[in-house]
Amino acid sequence: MNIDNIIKLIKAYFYENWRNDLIYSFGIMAALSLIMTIIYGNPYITEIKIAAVVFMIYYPCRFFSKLYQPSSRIHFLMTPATNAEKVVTGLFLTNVYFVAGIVLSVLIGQVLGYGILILNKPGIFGPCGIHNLAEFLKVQIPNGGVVLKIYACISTMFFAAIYFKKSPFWKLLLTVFVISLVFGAIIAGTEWLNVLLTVPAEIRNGNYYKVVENYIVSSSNWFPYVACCVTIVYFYAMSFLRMRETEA
Amino acid sequence: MIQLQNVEFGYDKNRKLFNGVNLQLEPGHMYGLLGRNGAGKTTLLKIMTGLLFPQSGDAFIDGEPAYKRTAQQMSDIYFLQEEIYVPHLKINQFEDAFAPFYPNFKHEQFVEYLREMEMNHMLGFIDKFSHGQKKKVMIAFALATNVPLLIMDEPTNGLDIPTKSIFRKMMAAYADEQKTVLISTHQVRDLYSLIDAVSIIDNGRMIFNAPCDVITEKLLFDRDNEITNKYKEEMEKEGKAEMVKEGKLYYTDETPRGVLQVKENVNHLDSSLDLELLFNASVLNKNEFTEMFK
Repeated sequence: MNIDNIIKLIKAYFYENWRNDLIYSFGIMAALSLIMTIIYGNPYITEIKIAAVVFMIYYPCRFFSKLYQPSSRIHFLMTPATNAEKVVTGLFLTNVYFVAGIVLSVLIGQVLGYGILILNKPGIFGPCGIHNLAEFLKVQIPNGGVVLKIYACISTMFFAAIYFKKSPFWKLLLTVFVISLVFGAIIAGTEWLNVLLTVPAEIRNGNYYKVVENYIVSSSNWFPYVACCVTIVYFYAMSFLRMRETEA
Repeated sequence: MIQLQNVEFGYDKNRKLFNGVNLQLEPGHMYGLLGRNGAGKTTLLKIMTGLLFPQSGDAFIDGEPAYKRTAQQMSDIYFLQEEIYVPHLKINQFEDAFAPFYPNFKHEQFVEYLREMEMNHMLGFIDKFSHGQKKKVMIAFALATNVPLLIMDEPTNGLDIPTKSIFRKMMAAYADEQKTVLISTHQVRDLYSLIDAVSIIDNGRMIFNAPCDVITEKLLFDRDNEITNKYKEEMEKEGKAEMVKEGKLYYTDETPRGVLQVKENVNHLDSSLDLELLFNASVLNKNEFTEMFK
């Protein structure tokens, strides 16, 4: 793997896409964030976070959009860099650049909206109940579990974006749906197995509270984290293998 | 160097497009790949460049399997497609973005090629240009990369008549001992006096791949028997009429220019290669030509 080639690929990407990213991703996100902060009267809005996550998850489709048309696919595949370098470039842009850009856009929108709300307090936008910027930013940072889940979703989309040649968007949605069903079934199955194997004995002993705490709540805590880590590693490895096999 | 060994390929598992194709392209030559529409010329180019994987057999670029598509292999090749893709960039931005991938790219050459094709004054985004203008930019870029292996698929499609002539001049200047150029086309007149080797494919097989001088050594391209009659007259004058042999006639075409013929060159006469006649003769005499140019 040659770092120079990765830098060249990133540079070529920015030549082609900086304007689109700035206007149609970061600009829209910042504007949405600003408007919703003002409309809702505070920056603690779930909808804007959902929108940001949707942007992040959709981004791999945009990065690999060249693979969806025969002529652009040839251009992409013939660009002098190894398949691994192309995947690593995609990884960097998807997981670092674009995520950072979207987070920053949301924060900029929120901070601007927050400023307007303070300036107008108790004006037309109403009280926002925020005392200082540090408090606001602290609330905005999601916990590790949420971040992990978002990255797992991105990795799934990353693979699907390389894998599907036609109608990638709908197939991506279907992929996520199916994967969710599979993981849901696994989690449900694990719980069900736990319950089947252990609960009857606990119930016989009269430990009803222990049944709920140990087997329905606690045992499911670790599984999503492991599943996310496995998902991320699995789909990026599959993406690399798929890229090697991609034909024009 | 590109090498295909017993390549079999088909888009449909039950219908093979290629069945045991062998081909070797050496540096220092400009090859013309000729074939009918749908003969698989573009597919063959994609197999050579590792963009498609053969179902069986092997494709090599400089001794390395083409399917690997290593950075080295890709920076040694430029594949100019028929349906070209151009990103939303201006000419100078396109150069800044993609020229660094090609170590032998020369900015001065790029500017000169653009100037020759009257594209140096174009300031807008390339994807907004007409098809012919896009093609001119991409041809200029492809030539300026100075890659050892340049592959062009129907490069003259969409070019106006003056540009076709400029294209031929630029290609002639591009060729050197280190470079291999492969031009796939069905517009054989555009390759006139340009190529020095010909590959012909038809119905999934490579009929032959041979240098032009070998072709004219074995085949005679005659119009109204002019060359043959002149030779006969000379030999009669010298009293050697019995030495004149009659070669096998492979193809004949009655045109307003006269009767054009492709014959076996049994008397070792000089003639100019006519690609159109050669192609038609090859398609009609596949087995004999394959054997002849083995």
